[in-house]
Amino acid sequence: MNDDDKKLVAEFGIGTLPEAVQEELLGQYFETLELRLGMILEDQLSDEQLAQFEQVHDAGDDDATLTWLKTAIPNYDQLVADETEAVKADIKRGMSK
Amino acid sequence: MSEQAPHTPNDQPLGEIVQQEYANGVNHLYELDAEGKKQPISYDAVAEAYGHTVGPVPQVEEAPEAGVEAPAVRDKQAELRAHAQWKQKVNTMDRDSRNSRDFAKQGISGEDVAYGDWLKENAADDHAGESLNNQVKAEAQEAADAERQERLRGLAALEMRVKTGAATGEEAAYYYTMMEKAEEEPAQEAADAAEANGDHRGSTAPEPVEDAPEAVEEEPVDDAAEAGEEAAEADAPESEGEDASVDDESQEVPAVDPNAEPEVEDDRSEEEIESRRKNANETRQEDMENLAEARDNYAQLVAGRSRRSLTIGKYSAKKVQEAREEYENLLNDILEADAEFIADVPGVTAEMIDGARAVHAFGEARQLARTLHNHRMVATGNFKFNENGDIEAVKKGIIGRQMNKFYNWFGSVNTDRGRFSTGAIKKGLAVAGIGIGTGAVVGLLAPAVAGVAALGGSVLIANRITKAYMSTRLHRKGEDAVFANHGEARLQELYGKIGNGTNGVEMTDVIDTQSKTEVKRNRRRMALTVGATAVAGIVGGELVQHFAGIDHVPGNGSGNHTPNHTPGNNGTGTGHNGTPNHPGKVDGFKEHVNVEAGHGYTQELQDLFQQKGINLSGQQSFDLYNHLAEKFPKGHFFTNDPSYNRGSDFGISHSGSANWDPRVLEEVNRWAQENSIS
Repeated sequence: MNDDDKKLVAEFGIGTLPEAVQEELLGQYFETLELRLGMILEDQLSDEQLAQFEQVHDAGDDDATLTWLKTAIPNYDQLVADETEAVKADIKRGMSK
Repeated sequence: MSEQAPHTPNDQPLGEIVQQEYANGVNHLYELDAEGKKQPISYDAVAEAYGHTVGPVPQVEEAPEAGVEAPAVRDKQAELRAHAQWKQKVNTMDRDSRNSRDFAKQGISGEDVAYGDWLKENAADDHAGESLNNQVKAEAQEAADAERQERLRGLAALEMRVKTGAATGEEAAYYYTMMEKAEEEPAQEAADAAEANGDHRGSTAPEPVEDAPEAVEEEPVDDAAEAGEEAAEADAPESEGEDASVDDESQEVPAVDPNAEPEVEDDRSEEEIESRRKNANETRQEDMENLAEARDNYAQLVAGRSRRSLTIGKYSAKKVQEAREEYENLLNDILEADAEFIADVPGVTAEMIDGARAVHAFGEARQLARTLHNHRMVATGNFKFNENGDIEAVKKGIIGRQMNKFYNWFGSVNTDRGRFSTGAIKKGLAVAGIGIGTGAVVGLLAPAVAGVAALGGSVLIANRITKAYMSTRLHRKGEDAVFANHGEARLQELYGKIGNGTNGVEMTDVIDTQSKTEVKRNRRRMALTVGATAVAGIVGGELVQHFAGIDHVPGNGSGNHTPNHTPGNNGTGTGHNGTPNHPGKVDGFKEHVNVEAGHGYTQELQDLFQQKGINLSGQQSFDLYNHLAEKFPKGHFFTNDPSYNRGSDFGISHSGSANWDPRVLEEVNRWAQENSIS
């Protein structure tokens, strides 16, 4: 577990659990984030944009792909940051119940 | 100009006043005496009774000092009627000509005229302040517009949270209420919300909304606070409280006191506790099934609405809101029951309860996200749920909607066509603006995350996101070119295993730190409870291993794809060009395999390589699986298991004893040699 993991463990308050369980829970957190973020970003794109995205993607230039994505979704950075915090908040809320 | 009324009322009492309108248009006032008989009374008398002076029209230069006040001693009903009549006169005076004869006919006195003039002067003053009023109004409008824009932005953000199932119940309830209204109204505000959201997709703009309640953002905080209070209460287990009271009681009551009442309370409590335990165990399975059903229903409706074409009937906002409430209510009921049940178990500490809550919270968040995602995939029309609850392509050859490509892209980030490579990793790091040596693989999401200073785990997040997509969104190449759901299905298999309650024992780790003898007895209960509660919770080391297998790329940027294995344990034992020395008996690979419940071929391939001390990563195992699927298109990898086809993938039909087909093992060995995996 690296320092970033440890920070998250502390933030979630799961430091008293066995490390294997901590890692497992963090894995679940990242999967949740990945899924939710993916859905949100997908919702930002129209069918036409998704088709364009496919073309950019198939060209194999990741830099260009990212540039295209950030252009198509102007608030891309904010969406990522917001959802990251939102997932954390949701899990914490669930833990407090 | 003073804003006070012209005259003060006098103190002469009046009886009840009634007005009678005659056919010729004349109105007369009457005062009712004590016997109810009508006595004519003039308008002037009424006016005088209210403090108005009756006489010539005065030259009113400024308003009199005193205001109009109804005498407290008078009959309020009569006063109100009289006052209403007087106001009617004044209003009539304003509308009609100011001919004195007309006034007289209408019972309008000079005082009335004076008061009318006074009103007009004040009205003029109002006009004089019009510019100021306009300025104030303009500022107020500007503030309202700004507030409205802010609300729209907030609502747009809320919409995202709702659509991903992340919103709280209160948030979702509010959102759906707004959507319900908006569905019957013009969509003007939808464009505003879309603009506020930076939404370039007209069809996905937030639907028309009304002003959001100011408390929307605060509600989660309130919830958290309330939940925190509840948690604080729950953190004090009943048993502890009862124990404390017993201790106090035992100190106060002498042990030899013959009059001391038997401590039947404890016995009853124990019975109640046992009863609750019994009931909890008996109903738990049913509760969890209900929860799964409610979650699924809610996710399905949310996914349906997210398609935008389905916002009525079954997918109406009201239906979605109801589904959300049902889901949350069930979830909360289960959580409460768990908290009560666990707290009843002697020896269980608050720390353990927190651990159980954590497992549930993480697991439930993921499960909801996964369920929603699956329904969204199905909503595209290109996927369907199979009998195992997994999603699969509706038919072979489907390229998949663009959305799938979108997800695939995440999966391909930092990979070179499905494989980690030095070049891709360096590129990812460069894109992220993070120097090599940070010890992580960085996905294209990293730049966004890394840009937020508050997110200390940015690199880690990007890393995990990449890995997660690698695990669940692997793009299957080949003639099918279908969005591969292999990783997804594999994890679903694990979830199925969990759903059968076999993972309960994993949570014994939570309480392993407790060494009390009593805990040993409780461990089983705790594990049972938590294991069943978590549903999608702990999956033991399997998922970790799955991720860990991918996470073999060293942080030094080498991107070496060589798997981690025990040095010197080269157990290929094959001849030249990978040809086994003994066909069907590949050295180091045993034919017999014991398939664990929930395992798929990729796990079994990993286990196979473990026989030779090689840790095959998840990616490698999947690559090998694809290789075998091409070589053995019918998926007959085991001699005694025909495999089942789940659309674009093969699954193992049964757990238990099986045997690898020797030809498959030969191919496995050949593949390992070609890929320098030894």
